[in-house]
Amino acid sequence: MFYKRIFRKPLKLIVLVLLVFGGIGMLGQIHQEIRTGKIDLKNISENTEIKCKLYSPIRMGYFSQIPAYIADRVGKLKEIENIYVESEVPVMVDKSNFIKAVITDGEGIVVTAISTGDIDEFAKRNGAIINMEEKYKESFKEEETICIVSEVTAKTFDLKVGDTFSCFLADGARLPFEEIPRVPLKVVGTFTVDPKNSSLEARELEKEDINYLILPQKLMFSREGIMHSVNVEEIWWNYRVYDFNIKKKYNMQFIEVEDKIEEIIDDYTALQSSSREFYKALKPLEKKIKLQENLYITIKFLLIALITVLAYFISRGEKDEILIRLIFGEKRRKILLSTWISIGSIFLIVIAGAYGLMTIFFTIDPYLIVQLIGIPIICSLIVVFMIIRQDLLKLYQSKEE
Amino acid sequence: MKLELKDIDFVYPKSDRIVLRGLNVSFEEGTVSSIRGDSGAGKSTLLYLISGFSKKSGGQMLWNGEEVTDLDTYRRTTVGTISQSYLLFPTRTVLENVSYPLILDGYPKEEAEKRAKELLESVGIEDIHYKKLPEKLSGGEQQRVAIARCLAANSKIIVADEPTGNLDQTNTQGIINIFKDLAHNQNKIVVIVTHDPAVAEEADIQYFLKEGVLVSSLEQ
Repeated sequence: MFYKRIFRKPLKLIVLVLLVFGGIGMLGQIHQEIRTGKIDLKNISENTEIKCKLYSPIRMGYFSQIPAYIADRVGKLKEIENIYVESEVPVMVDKSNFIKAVITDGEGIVVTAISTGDIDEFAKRNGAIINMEEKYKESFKEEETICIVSEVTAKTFDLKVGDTFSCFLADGARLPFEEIPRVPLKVVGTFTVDPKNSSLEARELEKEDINYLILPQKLMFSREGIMHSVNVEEIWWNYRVYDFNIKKKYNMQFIEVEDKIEEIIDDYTALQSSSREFYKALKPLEKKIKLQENLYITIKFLLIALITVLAYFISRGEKDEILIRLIFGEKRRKILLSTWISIGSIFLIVIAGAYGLMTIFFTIDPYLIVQLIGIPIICSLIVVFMIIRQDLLKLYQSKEE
Repeated sequence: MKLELKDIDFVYPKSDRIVLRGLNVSFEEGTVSSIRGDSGAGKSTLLYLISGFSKKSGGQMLWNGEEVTDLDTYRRTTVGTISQSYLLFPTRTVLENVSYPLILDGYPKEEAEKRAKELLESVGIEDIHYKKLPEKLSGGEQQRVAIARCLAANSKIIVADEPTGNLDQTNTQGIINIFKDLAHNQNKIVVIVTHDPAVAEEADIQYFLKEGVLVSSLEQ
């Protein structure tokens, strides 16, 4: 009976249908755009690499070296990957540990000699793997007649550990050949380069066309002429820059990741990242999504409000019906139930129907239907209940007035 | 058949205003009674009591000698109310309005409609109006439909609250005639509450209420 009646005065029904279809359609369209936007955002995020660098900024004209443990700790963060030494540039370092010179043998073959007082430090800095007896390590501070040769050099000169040979130390063209000091050297070990080490220094030591010797520090500094051959102002060490990237799945949390890195690095280390560019690329899309989300919320609120108002008026429109049924002695519970079921089912049919139809065209938030149906149905229940619980006399008087 | 009101008091619950005081009146079958009175005299309150809309504060209301206790049943089986605003279902057709009490009583739809048509015919509603909504009918026609619905409910008492308030002279007389016919030929008890002396004078018995007390009655 109720369905027949609502079609006889269909204005509210028409408004309801238009409102619900239009509203759900609009919300569906916006929801779909938000969803597409989010997918785009995800795609951009997943396909963009946020590149980062760790470097030491210049302070008062002095470069500091990033301690290896810092890069190590940054490298262990779960959010980052692919940390490696991207570049090294030569910078001036303390001369006491490391110098270079050029020596030549009687045949005129040139090899490069590196001097050090701490063989372990040399190995660490250059990524070298030293093959020698421990007892000789200390000798590198005091001895003048031992050396370590690179494996390439050993092969070139057919040298083995324990062999002794003579060579001339020279600094190029500064001294005449007869004046160059002649030094006997015993081979106490060999060295090669760690294949995992990609530093410039390490790569340099690995070159097959350059022969290297490692000489004790004292030999280099005790011989007159040799010291002069070395311009201490031009002793260089490598300044390293570490490159890495944030794992793509953590791209959207780049601020937190960068905070973590900042906590690890010290005052002499700086972090540079492409997150700003990444954010710039995402910002317009994020802004658009945010706007659409706000629009979605506003329209949803308006739609629910309008449907609720309509539910109120449709329920309120049953007042005469309820009054007459009460006058004819129908039980209040029966009237409440039948009226509410009638109105509720109208909302259910219209909203669920519109929702179902619109899902053919749009992707719609599944929770929308619960809110759209639930709120007006509860509203109609309250309105009908409030009418029915009124005293019959008051209801009658309000009608007659 | 008789409706008796004995020592009826009525006080509005929240205001404590005494509207009816020790009212005694009896309405018998086959009579049209009218109740008049100034505004606030209590005539509407008396109508509400007779209609079963509200409970009395004191006294007894007896239907055929038995106290009326269940107002829902009383309204459903005994009394029918005709109001100034007709009180018709606005979204049901004329036929559905009149069929309603019959269907409520368990009549099959077809039988209910058949009976409703007879009743509508008896109050002078032509069949072209049966499928119309009440708003499409004139005031007089709507009032006749309301009366037909009371008859469909087989109401023994018909209480009319200003039934001609919205009607012109011709329609007023038509409705009065129906009431008279219901009382005199169908043995109904008809109680009309009105402020219109002309309508009141058409009744078999005229009552006048003053400050909640029935001060006079005039039997014609």
